[in-house]
Amino acid sequence: MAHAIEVTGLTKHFGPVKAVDDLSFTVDEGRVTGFLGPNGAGKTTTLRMLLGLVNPTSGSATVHGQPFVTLSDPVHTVGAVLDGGMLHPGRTGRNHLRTLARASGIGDRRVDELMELVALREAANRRAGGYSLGMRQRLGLAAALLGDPKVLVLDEPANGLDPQGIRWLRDFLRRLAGEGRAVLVSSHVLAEVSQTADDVVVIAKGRSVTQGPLQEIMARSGRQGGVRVAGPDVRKLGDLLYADGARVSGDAHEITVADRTGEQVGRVIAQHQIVISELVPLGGSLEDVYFELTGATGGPS
Amino acid sequence: MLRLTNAEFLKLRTTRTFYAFLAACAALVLVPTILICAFATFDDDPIEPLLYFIGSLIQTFSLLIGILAATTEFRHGTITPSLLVVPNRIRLMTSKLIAGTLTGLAIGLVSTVLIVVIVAAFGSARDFPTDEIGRGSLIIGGTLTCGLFAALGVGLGALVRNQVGAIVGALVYVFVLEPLATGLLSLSDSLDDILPKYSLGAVSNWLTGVSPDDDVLLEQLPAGLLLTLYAALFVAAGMFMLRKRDITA
Repeated sequence: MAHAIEVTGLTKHFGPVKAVDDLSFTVDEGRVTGFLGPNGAGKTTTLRMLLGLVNPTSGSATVHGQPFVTLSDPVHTVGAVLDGGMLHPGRTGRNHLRTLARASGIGDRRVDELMELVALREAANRRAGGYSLGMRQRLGLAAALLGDPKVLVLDEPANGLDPQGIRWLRDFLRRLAGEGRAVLVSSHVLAEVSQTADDVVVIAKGRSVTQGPLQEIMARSGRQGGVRVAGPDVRKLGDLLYADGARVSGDAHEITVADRTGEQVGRVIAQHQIVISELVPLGGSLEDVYFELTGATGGPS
Repeated sequence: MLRLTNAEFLKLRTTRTFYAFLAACAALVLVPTILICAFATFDDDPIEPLLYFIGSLIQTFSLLIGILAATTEFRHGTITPSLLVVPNRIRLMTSKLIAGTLTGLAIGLVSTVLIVVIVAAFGSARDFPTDEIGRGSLIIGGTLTCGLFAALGVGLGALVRNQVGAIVGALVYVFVLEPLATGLLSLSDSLDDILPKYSLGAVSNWLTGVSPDDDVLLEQLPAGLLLTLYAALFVAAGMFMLRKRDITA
């Protein structure tokens, strides 16, 4: 069976500049795939090639085995948000959605449902020129969901969202994947991706530097991280984990487990009904792995 | 294609710019026609000179409507969500062409009929001569000219993409370059019929059926075919470029 998204040997030159260089990856249904890379790494160009907006120099990008531009029913197959959802400033948010819906043969009822879903019902009849970036993002997301598609492609969807909006987006993406949809989401907010993605594709200078399940990449990089646990019974917990082969250090009130995840330690705690006062994941973030793989320093690019 | 064309009409109808253009068109037709018919004195039927001067302005407005239909999406970046819904660029541009051309036809029909009706009404009230024969061909010619100008505008817009550039370029050509070139070429005996016969302004006048003098260098049918060819060339060039270009914003 074809992958939901399959990118093979994708290359794009803009004059002398090689924006994307022989990039290959796949995205499967029921998974959120984070697409990471520094500014100018070629993420947006890749997504635009996938969606038929930019012509590749070589290589191919398909959705369910077909190039996007040849899909017979694109709206019901792929939903996408690029660059924060572009809008005519003089058109109301609802009318923006209606123009797209009408071209797809979708009725106004679905438009109103989506305005409600993305919490824009109150602002539906306001001109989009007055929308905040977060509102534009949510309207773009509504446009992507018009045809209830099986594949979602989102370019920096968390841009402009407030913390509440980011949490909403995270839960929303997880729910979409839970419904069996394939979600490809580019982001520079690494903390977001680490909490949302099942798989990641990391690119730098147009080339893939690593890809695979997030947990596997974290483990492969040797940055499993570990956890710190505090509480009156942590010595007992330490003994149990040590007996299970974990690397444990610490004292009677606080221990550090170097090679177990928070979930693994939590299961032992629950199983043995151990009282704790604190459980903190340590170091080893996706951010560390990202900087290591892309060669970025954390300064402005 | 019907639903795509409907969507293009909705795009036009849901912006204030479109209504501002229609209001300007209405003012351009009504104000000078009524004032001239009310206060000027005529020895002949004034319909042709009115259609000659006001018609050329309405045709230019139709050209601008066509340019707007094609370039607004590039200006505001809405071409991206539109192509995500309709990835086939030729289908999308064809729907813009149909919507733009039909709008141009409607503008042409309403404008020409209004001018004809106002002239007829004032003619009977003030008793100046009006020739009722031939009004049908003027209305058909004026309507088709506006429709074809709008189609040409869609092609030009798709070719240039930059809205301000396309509008300024079109206005400079229509009001400066072509009249200037026509004037200069008229100095040469061997060339003085080329632009008066084949230029955009001249062909549109021949199609409408109006002429600044009594000479008829081109009949309505060949003029209509020639203007259709001009519009088709711009549309073909615009679609060719649209297919090749990368949409990066």
